[in-house]
Amino acid sequence: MGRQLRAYLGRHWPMSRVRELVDAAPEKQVALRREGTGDEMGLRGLLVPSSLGGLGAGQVELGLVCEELGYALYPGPAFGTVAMAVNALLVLADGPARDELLRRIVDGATVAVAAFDQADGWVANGAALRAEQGPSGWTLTGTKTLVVDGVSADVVLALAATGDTLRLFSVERGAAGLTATALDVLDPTREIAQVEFRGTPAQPLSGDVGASVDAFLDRARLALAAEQVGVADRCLTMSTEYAKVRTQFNRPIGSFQAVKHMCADMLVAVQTARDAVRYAAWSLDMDRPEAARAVCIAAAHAAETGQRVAADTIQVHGGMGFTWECDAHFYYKRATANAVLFGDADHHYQRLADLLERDLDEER
Amino acid sequence: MARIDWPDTPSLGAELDEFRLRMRTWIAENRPPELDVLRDWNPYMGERPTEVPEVARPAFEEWTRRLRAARLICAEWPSEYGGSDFTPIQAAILAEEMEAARAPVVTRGPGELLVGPAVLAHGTPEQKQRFIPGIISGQDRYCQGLSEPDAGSDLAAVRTRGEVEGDQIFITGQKVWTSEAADATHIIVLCRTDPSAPKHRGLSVVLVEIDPRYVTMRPLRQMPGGAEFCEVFFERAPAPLSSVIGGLNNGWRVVLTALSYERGGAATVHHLRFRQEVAALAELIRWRGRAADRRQLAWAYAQVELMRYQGLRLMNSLHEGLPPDNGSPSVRKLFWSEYHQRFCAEALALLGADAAAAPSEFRERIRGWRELYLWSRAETIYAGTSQIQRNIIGEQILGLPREPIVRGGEQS
Repeated sequence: MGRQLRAYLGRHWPMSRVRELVDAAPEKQVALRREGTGDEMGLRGLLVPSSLGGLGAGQVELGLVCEELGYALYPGPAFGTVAMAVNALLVLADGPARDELLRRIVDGATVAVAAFDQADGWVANGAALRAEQGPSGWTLTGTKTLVVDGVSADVVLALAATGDTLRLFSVERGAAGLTATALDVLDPTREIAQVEFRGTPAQPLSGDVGASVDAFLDRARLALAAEQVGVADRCLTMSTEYAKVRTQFNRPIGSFQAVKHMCADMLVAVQTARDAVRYAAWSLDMDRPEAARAVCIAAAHAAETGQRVAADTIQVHGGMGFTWECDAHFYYKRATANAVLFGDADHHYQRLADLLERDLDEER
Repeated sequence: MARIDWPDTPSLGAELDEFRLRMRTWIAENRPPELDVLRDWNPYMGERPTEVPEVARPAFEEWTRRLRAARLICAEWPSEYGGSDFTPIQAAILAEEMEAARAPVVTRGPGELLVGPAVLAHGTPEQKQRFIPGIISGQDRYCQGLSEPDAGSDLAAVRTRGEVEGDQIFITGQKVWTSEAADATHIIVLCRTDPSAPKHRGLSVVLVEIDPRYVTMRPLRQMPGGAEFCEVFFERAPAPLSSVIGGLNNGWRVVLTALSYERGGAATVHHLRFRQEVAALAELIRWRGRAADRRQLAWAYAQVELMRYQGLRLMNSLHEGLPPDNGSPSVRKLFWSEYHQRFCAEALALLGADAAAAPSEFRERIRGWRELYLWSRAETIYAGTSQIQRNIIGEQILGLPREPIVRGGEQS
C-alpha cells in the first residue's frame, strides 16, 4: 500500500504542484488545498469501520499512509480528516451522530479537530473553550488553536469544557459565531488555524472524555511522528542522490567522508524513527500495556531527528540548499513545524518520565 | 535499587511461547538462590564483562556447571559438538529469560564470539570436533590476535608472519588489543602466509596454543587505569598446519566471519545489557538529580527501547527466514556505542564537581560512574570505529562512492 501511495503521490502531487499551491494567492489556496482531500486516493475511509463504509484499518496502516504524505509533503487537508478527526470520533465519541459524521467523511467531508486551548504546554483540557446547554441546544464560546486544516474544514470537532467535564462537539462550517483564521505559518505547505467560537451552536458527540483524551492525542501525535519519518526519509533520499551526482575536486561529493557520514547519520535517524513509529502503532492496535510509552518515544525521537535530518539536507546541498528553488527548505520548514506542533521532544520526554515515575513509585 | 518496567517481547507463536516457558522454568529451578547477592551486580558495565564478586563465585561456578550440563552454553552451536542446535530466536528467548530472572550471563568470551563461529563456518569436520567442545567446556580459553600496532581499522595490513615448514606453521610478529589474555590457553591469529600476494589474499587464520616459550604477553595500561588488554609477541610460535582454519591464504574470508559477530540471537537482544544501567541512572537521579534530570532518564529509556526495536526487526527477519538488512550491524553498533558514551557523560555530569574530586564517603559509588565514563571512550573505537561504521553505512546501504584508493608507497 505504501508503495502504491508513493507512486500515486509522485505522479499527482509532485513538488511542482505543491509549489503552485504555496505561490497561489491566499483565496485561491483554500480551493487548491481542497483538491487534495485524500478523496482521490480512497484514504478517507482508512480507519472508519467497514460497517460504516470504511476500510477498518488501524494505526499501523495510518502510519504508513502518513509517512507517504510526509514524503510527498502533501499539502491537502488529509491529515486533519484521516489522522485526527476519524481517530477523535472513534476514541472519544459514540452514538448515531458520530456514525453519521464517519459516513460523511467516507463520502468526502473535510473535518478538522480543534483540540488545543493553548499552544504553550499544548493544553487540551477545554481551558479556553466553554460549552453551555441552553433551551435550543449547546453553544460553544472561546478559542482553540493549532487547528490543522481548520480553514478548509466542512466540520470542526472541538474539545470543550462543560462544568468540570470535557466533551467532544461538532460544529458545521458557516455556523453562527464561528471564525477560522489561518495562523501565520513557518511551513507554507500546511494550513494551521485559530478557531473562534462565539455562542456557536454545536452538536454533542460524547460524554466526559477526560479519561480518554490522552488516547486520542497519542494517536494524533503518532500520526504526526509518522509523517515526520516520511519527511526525513525524503530528505535522506534527496541528500544521497545529490551526493552521488554533485562533483567537486573531480569526484562526487558523497565520496568525501564528511558528506558520507552526514548521510549515514541521516539513515540511522530515519531507520530508528521508523522503527519507533511502527512499534508504537502496533502497540496501540494490539492494546499493549507499553503503548503510551511507545508513543512518547516515537514522538520525541521523530521530532528531534526529523529536524536535524532536514537541516543536514540543506548542508549537503551546499549553496543550492539555501535557495527557494531547491526543495530542501520546504522539508526543513515542515520538519521544524512538526517538531513542535503537538509537543516538542522535551514535552514528550517529560511525559515519558511521568509514566516511568509511576513505576518507580510503585516499586518503593 | 530502582526497578524499571520493560515491555515483554511480542509472541512469535505458540511453539516459541512454549519454549520460552520451558526456559523460564529451567532457570527458576536451576538458578542457585545464592546468586541473589548478585541482584544489583551488572554482568556487563555497558559492554565490558565485569568480574563476579568473590562472595558469589562458588554459586556462579555451580550455575555454570548446571548450564553446561543442560547444554545451554553456546546453545546455538550444533549438538554434535556440545551445543543444542538452538535457532537464533531460541537463543534470544533464552537470553531474555536469563535477564528477566537476573540470572548471570555465562559466556566463553572470544572463543564463543569469534572463534567458534569461524570454525563452524570454515572448519573441516575434524577441526570442529577438535576445537568446538573445548570452547564450550571452558577448557580452551581463547583471546584474539588480530589487530597490530600498524593494522587497526586497516586489518588486512597485518604483518605478523606465518611460515609453513612441513606440517607446521611458525608465527612471528606482534599483536595488540588482545583482551582476556591473562587467562587464555589459545589465541586466534591472523597472519600473512603469502607476502607476494595482494594484501587481502595472502592471509591465514590459525588457532595457536599459547606456549610461553614462544608467546609473550605484555599488559597494556589503559585509560581507566587497568590493563585488561595485552600486547602479544610471537617468536616462531609453532602450530600444526591442521590448525589453519579455512585453508592457507583464505584467512580474510575467515576473519570476516569471525568479526561479523553481530549475528544471530545475540544481536537481537543486545539491548538487554543496557537495561540495568538505566535503573542505576534512576537511582543516581534520586540521589543527586533535580526535577529537570528526569528527562535524562526518559531519554535513556527511550534509546534502549529503540535498540530493542532494532532487535525486534532483526528477530522478525530471522523468524521469516529473510536475510538481515545489508549493513544493519553497522547501524546497530554505531547507535549503541554513541548512545552509551552520551549516557555515561550525562550520568557523570549529575555528580557535578564530585566527578572530578570525590568525597571519601561516596568514593566507591562515584568511581563506578567514572570508570563507566572512561571505558565508554573505547566503545566507538573497538569492533570497528564509528568512522568506519559510517563509511559502511554510506557505501553499503546508501550506495555512496568510496574514496579513491591510495596504492601502497604512493604519495597522495
